[in-house]
Formats: sequence, C-alpha cells, structure tokens
Amino acid sequence: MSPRHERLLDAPPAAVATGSGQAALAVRNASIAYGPKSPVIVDNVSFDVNQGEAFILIGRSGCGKSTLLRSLAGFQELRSGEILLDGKKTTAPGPDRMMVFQNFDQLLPWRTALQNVEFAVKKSGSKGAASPRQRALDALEMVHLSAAADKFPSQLSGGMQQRVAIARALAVRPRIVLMDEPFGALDAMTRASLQAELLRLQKEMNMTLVFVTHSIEEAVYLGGRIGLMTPRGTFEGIYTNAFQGQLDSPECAEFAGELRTKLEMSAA
Amino acid sequence: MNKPIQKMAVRITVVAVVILAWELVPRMAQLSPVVLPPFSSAVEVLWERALDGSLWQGLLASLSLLVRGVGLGILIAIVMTAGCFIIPGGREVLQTLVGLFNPLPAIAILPLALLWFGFSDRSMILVIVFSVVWAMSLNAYAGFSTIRPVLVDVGRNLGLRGPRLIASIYFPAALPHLLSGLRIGWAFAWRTAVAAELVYGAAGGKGGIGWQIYLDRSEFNTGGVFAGLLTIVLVGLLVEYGILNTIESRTVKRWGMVS
Repeated sequence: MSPRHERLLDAPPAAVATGSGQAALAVRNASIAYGPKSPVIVDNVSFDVNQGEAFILIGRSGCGKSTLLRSLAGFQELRSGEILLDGKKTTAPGPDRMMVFQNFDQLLPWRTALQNVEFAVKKSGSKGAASPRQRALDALEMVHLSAAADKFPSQLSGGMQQRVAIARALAVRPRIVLMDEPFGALDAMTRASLQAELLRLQKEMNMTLVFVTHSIEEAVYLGGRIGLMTPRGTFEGIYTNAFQGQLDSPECAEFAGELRTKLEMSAA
Repeated sequence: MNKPIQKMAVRITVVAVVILAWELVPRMAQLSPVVLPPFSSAVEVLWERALDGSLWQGLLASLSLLVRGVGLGILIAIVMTAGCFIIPGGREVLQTLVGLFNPLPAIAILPLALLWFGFSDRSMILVIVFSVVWAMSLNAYAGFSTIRPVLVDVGRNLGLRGPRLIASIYFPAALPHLLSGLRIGWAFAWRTAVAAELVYGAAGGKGGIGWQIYLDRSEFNTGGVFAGLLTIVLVGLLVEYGILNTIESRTVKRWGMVS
C-alpha cells in the first residue's frame, strides 16, 4: 500500500477489518414501497456485505436494485426491516455511506474538480491528519486526474467526471461506498478502463463496495459476490464469484452464461 | 465578417441614427427648444451638471436609495423563498403570496408608504423593496424547484440538511435564476425609484434624478428633462452591461451553467 493510500485510510474504522466477524453492512428483512398503499418494489430481502468485499446487485431495469441502493444510502425509507452499518441501525443519509451516481451531472458545476472533492471532505466533517485540500489532491491523484484539478465539470469528459465523483466518495473515507451504475453512460473503452481502475482501488484500499449494474460482464469482472435480483424485488440467489478481475477465460464466460440464464429464468 | 461584429455594427448604426435624427429634426423644423431641444443641448446641460456636481449629487441620491432597497429586497426574497422550501407546505404559501402581490405595481404602494413613513428614505426603500421582492422570489422559486435532484442527493449524502443544504447546494445551483431575477428586479426598482420621485417629488428628502426632471419640467427646461432621461438610460445600460453581464460571465457562464 502506498503512503497516499494510507493517508486516505488513516481514520479508524474506515475500511479496516473489525475482526469480530460482524458484517460491515447488514440488511434485515428490508421491504421498500414508494407509498403506504403502493406495491412493494423490494420484498423482504436480507443480505450481508462483508468488510473489503465488492458486492454486486444485478437485475433487470425495474427490479428494485437502485431503489435498494438508495435505501442503503438513506435516501429511501424502508417500509419494514432494517439496515445495520457495523451493527448500528441507519436511517438518514450520511457520509459514512458515500454514493456515486450514474449521471455525469452529479458534480457541483460551480466548483472545480479539486473544489468538488475538497467540499465533500469539509462538509462531511471527516477528520484526518492531512488538510482537506491535501486529501482532495491525493484522491484526485488516485484516479489519475491531478492534471484536471482546476477544471470545471463542464470542461471534463463524462469519464473524467465519474472519476472525480469516485475521488470525492473515497476522499471522505466512508465506511462503505455505494455505486449506482456509475459507468452505465460511458463508451465501452472508457468503461473498461474505469472498471479496471475501480477494481484496483477496491483491492488496494480494501474498500467495502455495493455496486449496482445490469451488465453481467461488469458484475463478474468487479464482484466478489453477486446478488441476482428478480423482477419481484427479491433475490434469486447470491453467488460467490471466483472470477473477479478476470477477462474472457472459458470458465469465466461459462459462469457469466449461468448467471445470464438464471437472470432470464427469474424473469419468466 | 462574423455574427457578433455584424450585430454590434447594427446596434451602433441604430444608436447613431437616433442621435442624428434627434440632432437634425429640431434644427431643420426650427422647433422651439421648449418642445424638443436637439441632442447637443441635452448633452450640454448634462455636461454642465456633471461639472457643477449636481448630476453626481442626484445620481448618488437615487442610487444610494436603490442599492439599499434592492439589497434588502433580494435578501428578503431569498430568505423567504428558502424558508418556504424548508417548511412543509411553504411552497404553496410562497406561490400564493407572489400571485397576490406580483401584479401590483410597486409605485401604487407609495401613497401607503408615505402615510406610514412620511416623506423619508424609508418610504422610498419600502417601495423599491416591494418592486424587487416578488420578481426575485419568483425566480428564486423557479431556481430552487428546477435544481437537479442528484445535486440535492449529493448534499444530503454529506449530511447537509436545512439551511446548510440551502446555502451550499440550492443557492449556487439556483444562481442562473437568481441572476435573471436580479436583472428583472433591478429594472423594476430603477423605474420605480425614478417614477416615485417624478410623481411625488423628493420623497427621500434629497432630490434624485427623478426629482431633477420634475424641477426641470416646472421650469420649462426641456433640455434638462432630456438630460435626466439620458442619465436614466445610461445608468440602465451601465448596470445591465457593465455590472450584471460581468457577474454572469464570471460565474454561471464560466461554470457552463448557462450558454
């Protein structure tokens, strides 16, 4: 681990294994509906996300995966059940769960890349040895954007804006990072390079990540475990992925094929 | 020849033609200077008043009232609109208030202001505040309600709520709307301030530009009246192009928030 990563991670207990065997994030019997009388979107799901794990939520559009992620972030109330972060119940949004959104327009357009990250560090109240500015610079360096630090979001490409958003999430030193199809709107080449970069950061920082996608390839490449959601807002199953970080091996392709079949079966 | 230069050329030509016609028509038609003095005599009066200082005194009187009134109006509008966004049901309250008071010309409030505060600065400031506050609220409301939801989520994600969320997310995100509100509000206020002085004399005690026009009219000094009108136009242009456009190009345009 390089010194700059240590600096980003120096706040306990962020991204440091607790050793107690307790899950970083525990979802217990969570159901979500948009109103008291509307139908449930997420139906009584339970799962754990362990420290340092990349957990993928995958499913077709409308299966409730993004809604579930929003409730992990505290944006969406549960109808029933609970979400525990390190054993403590969470309800409101907070910087211990940093979200990276799908849309490029998630950066504050009136702040430069550096100022966007620095703003997040300051407002989150996250304390550390380094100054917020230094931490913002370090985070931008991690996503290879030091050269663009003083550019406004409108001057950055979509891929660069998503990198800044990732840097912003990491600089705050959250307990867990939540990503909602952050590469969904990128071209294929940029997407592949950002996926590789994210996987590297996830490993280096021992980052606990919940990542929503509808791409099986992305899920198999990034995920330690993959939670496959049905259109009814339940889990078809949660699968351990032995092929994380691999591309195109026959076994890997076979596993992806199995997942695809399961996904299609669940919709039937 | 590119487009901006062409536009500029058209504008300069129009201004030149208006000035030329204003100069030549009264001379050729041998109009009495009481009816329509040529451009040069209006400029002459303006020049004299600039030299003897009365122009600056009048401007200072008008503008100091204006700055205080517009400043207070903006402050009230933003606090009120932000408050209505924090309090549940507040948006309805705001929309109703704006709906009630926005159609009312601010100058119509002046008799009331005079009854309450007499011939004082406070009367003028009340009227100017009234002229600014509804246009500004309307635009602040539009700005706050068209904010990209993801930016609010970003703020909430960091733990920001209530006034802190308004100050660091809603306010800058609404800046393009707030600036156009300022543009409209300023224009209302400037017209209202001049009109108030014209109709009711030096309501503020010290005479401003409107008051000077009023005096010139009673002395049949038509050149003076035109000098006053020229001043009003010049101040309007200066604020519009000198100040507001500069603010815009250094903020929302630089950030790519408006094209």
